[in-house]
Amino acid sequence: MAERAAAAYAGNGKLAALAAAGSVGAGLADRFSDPELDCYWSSPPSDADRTGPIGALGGELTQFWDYDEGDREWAEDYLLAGLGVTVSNFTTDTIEQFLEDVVQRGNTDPVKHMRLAALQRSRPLLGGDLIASWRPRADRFPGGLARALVRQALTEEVLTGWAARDALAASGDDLVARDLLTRVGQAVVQAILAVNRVYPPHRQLMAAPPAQRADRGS
Amino acid sequence: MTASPPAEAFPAAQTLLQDTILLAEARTGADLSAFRRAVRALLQRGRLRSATRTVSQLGTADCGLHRYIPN
Repeated sequence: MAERAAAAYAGNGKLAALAAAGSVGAGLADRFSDPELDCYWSSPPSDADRTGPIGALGGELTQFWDYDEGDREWAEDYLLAGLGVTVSNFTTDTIEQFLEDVVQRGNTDPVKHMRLAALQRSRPLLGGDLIASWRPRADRFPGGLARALVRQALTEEVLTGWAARDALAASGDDLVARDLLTRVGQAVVQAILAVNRVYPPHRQLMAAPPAQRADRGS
Repeated sequence: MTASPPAEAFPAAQTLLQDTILLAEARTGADLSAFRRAVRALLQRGRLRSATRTVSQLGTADCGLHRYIPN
């Protein structure tokens, strides 16, 4: 399916690179996996750039999102032979900016980290040289970034409610007890990923930066 | 940790958290002293609460130990 998709996109000169992403791209696909495609465009894609390949493949468009300023991404979903395909679109300028922000400036924005994880874990279908040029830059995970992420993961917020842990366990309040344990588990995973200089591939594995925590009112 | 009953999982989580702090400090040089102190304080409070229950269960609350246990 990935090769067919690559053929459908190949004629568009604006497309700088295409990769199979997610678990399929990482070689971890199982029966729950749906194909994910990441498109990297040399200039912002038009609606026709995005829908043309889907029509050529005989896919049925199911979702079509406008540009998301926060994620710096256009996205669409379609059905092809019963499979749900998710497409993410970025400009190459955005990737350059993400690389500079994270690797040069130590930016901890989860959106940018998730993108760099995708660059490292995806399987290039088109424009392999470009993706290969991005990877070593993403691999330069600076020590200052690891320190910042560890500090972000291991904060006192993780311990909220811990003073009551024995009471919760004794009274069988498993729902709240599990919440406390999950929070610790997530913090530990986030810290271990940072220690090992690994960008989290999922939003769920990321510690929210302080500004986002404030936004959530926590 | 997540598969065990909470009563067993909490001590495992505490150990995991403390080990992670030590590892993260050693491998990244991050200053986690405030968090380390917060974890230690919580664990000490947990021990005091356990002692409260034990004294209460034994019916020996008047043995004098309660004077050392903060409300």
